[in-house]
Amino acid sequence: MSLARYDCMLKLAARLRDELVILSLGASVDEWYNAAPHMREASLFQQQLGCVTPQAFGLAIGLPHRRIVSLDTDGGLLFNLGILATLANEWPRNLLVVVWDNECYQSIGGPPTHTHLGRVDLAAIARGCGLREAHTVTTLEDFDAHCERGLAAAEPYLLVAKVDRSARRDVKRKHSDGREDKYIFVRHVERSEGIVIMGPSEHN
Amino acid sequence: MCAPGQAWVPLGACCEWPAPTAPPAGGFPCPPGGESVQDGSAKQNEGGMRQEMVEEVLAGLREAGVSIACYLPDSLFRGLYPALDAAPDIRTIRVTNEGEGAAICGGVFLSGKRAVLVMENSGLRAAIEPLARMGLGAGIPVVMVMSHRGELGENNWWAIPHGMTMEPLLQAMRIPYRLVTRGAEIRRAIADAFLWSYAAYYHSAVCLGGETVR
Repeated sequence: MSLARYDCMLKLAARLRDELVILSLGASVDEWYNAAPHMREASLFQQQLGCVTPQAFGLAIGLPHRRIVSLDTDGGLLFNLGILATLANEWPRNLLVVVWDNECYQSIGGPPTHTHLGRVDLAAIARGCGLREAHTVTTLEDFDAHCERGLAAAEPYLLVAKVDRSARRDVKRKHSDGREDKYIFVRHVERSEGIVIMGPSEHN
Repeated sequence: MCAPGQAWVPLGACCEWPAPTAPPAGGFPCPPGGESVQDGSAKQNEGGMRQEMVEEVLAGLREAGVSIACYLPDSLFRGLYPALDAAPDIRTIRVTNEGEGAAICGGVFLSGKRAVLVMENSGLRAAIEPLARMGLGAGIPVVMVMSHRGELGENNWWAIPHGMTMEPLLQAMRIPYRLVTRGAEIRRAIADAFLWSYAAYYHSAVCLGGETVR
């Protein structure tokens, strides 16, 4: 594998404007923070293994007119494969799921996930659940082409990017925690949608 | 519990389970976690929710502004799920486990819509991890309506642990909850749970037992 996650992020980021992004924990957080600086407020940096795509799906259900992007991981998706069956049954038309499959739990030093032996094919599992648009890519050109298709698709789209185990350590670190990230994200959704999500108390 | 191959048959006029096809001879396969109602002893106290209780739940959800309900079906609420599915103002999402449902509800919160997670109280155990991450880590709330399996009056051995673990888990998670045993309390409890969660930005729970489910 020679596909670098950061290079993929740069390609995806260049295609994003009004979308909302939910992403997983680990080194990909700081990478996305730098690869997509224009999407910082529109990205929810979360720390929940197995929750990223379900949360993105919930967001997609709540905002059906808006494109939602889930930046999940092999470890995160394997934690709850059931979401693939739920996506197939619910068929959101505005959800792109990108899975960074580096075949390891990178953030804790790199012990292998279940994809490391090459037997477990996450895209094939997704197709088996009923998702027609579930693909694996190993080149930057294919990744970019699928991002273009996935961001325009009228059905759930899953893209497994077989990336290497490298992580960019020379990038600016995100300083906010999950709670601050939530407020930043919610206020962005409120502004861009013209809605109130976290309004005032009865008495301030 | 259902043994493999055992049939599961809905009880009562209000408890017809929606199915894509006509039920096969002997009934539908038992749902995951469901208990057999072929056993006469299980039938004694397993009538499920009465229609007026179902209506109270729906009224509470409407009062709270809920438009999305995630659920993993259970037996005590079996009258509720078809009613949720049929409600024109509520979109239901069936999930594969309650943790997934909690995470979906969290995502719905971020959209400005209101969601509820409906489940058996055993689902709390499956949902603890995402609830802890979302609630304690980020302040993303999930409101839960759960059936109170294992309370006094329970006659299934497998449900006893559900009752023994529910309140300690809710307390460990610092999740406020209300034990509701009377139908007249359902609507207010659900509305209050949403008011609290949208002030605290933390989870809350309504546990329906007593006459509300039996």
